[in-house]
Amino acid sequence: MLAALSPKLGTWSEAVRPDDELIAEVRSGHTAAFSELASRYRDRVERLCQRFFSDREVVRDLAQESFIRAFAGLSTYRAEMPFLGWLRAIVSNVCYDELRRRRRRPEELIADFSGPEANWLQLVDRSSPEQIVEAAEERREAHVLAHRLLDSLRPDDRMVMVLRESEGLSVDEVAAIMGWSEAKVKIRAFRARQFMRKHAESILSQAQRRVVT
Amino acid sequence: MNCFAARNDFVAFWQKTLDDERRAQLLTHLGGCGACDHSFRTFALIAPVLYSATEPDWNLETPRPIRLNPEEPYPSSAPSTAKRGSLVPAVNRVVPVFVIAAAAALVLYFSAPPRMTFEDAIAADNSNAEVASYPPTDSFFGQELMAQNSTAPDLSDE
Repeated sequence: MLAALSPKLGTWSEAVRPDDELIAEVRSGHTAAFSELASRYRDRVERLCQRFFSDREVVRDLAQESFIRAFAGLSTYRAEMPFLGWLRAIVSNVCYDELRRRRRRPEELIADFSGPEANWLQLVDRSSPEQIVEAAEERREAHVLAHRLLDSLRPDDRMVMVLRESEGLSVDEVAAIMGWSEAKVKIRAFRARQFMRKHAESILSQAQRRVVT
Repeated sequence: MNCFAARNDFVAFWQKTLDDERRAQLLTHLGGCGACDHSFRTFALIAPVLYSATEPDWNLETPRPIRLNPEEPYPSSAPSTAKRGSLVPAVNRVVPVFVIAAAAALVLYFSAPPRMTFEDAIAADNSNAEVASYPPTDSFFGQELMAQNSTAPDLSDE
């Protein structure tokens, strides 16, 4: 009985091993321990990448790139801060680099919508708040349109928007991750929110005009 | 509930973490406040990316027709997944062949020499010694050199 359980117990005890212990193991040359760290945080890392990019393959590539950078820079990690915070900074910078590399045209307004996107807009415009929340979960077009809206932000603004709104980071945390001043983070946050609000309102009014015509 | 509190609850409402009492208060407020209702609808446009706790696995999701009214049945004209499945492999085979053929045609078209007209042939054959005697000048500096070389000889009696 005990022998049968021992593998499971072994797995369980490995699963709850603290991050610092695994990091020390990797630093001492047991690089296999990093795969456990990666599997522990893979979902979190991919979820953060999904805030920036809708393409599943791109998200996986960026997550992979983030883990490679983390592995390469593990010697610079200081135990004073949580490993997740350190990893989040790496992921954010990887995504930021990719946003800048793509060089999207800043603040480009969405001119047209696909059929499903137009339907989603009409639903947002007409339905009750509860129906909107329920419908958003199962509609891909809701995610696609939201990504298109966020794509219209400049990379700096988008970084602040995601880190502040989605990750719930404070101004000084965002400033530390991005290497910016707190004033810059505040200005970017204000600017991004203002632009997104105006942009979303103009899109909703477009949808209303379509319904009227 | 005032407007400030209502807007602060948007994220929790979206993530379904709001308790029942608070949720009812928020819905009542949204029903009576046009500004907050409008604000929630603009929030709903970006919330699927910024505030969703999880992302749906789109790779496993089969596309389906959109309906605005939940009681309205799906249109029967929508092709089933099985019917679409038979078409996809054929398209997958045809598209690469078409792309390769188009690329080969473009390569052949641009690698062939341009067709020569009668005027082109005459012009090519008319080798003008005067034109050919000019030094190659493809810059402003070349033109300056030509100007220096073309100084007229001094023919005065002195």
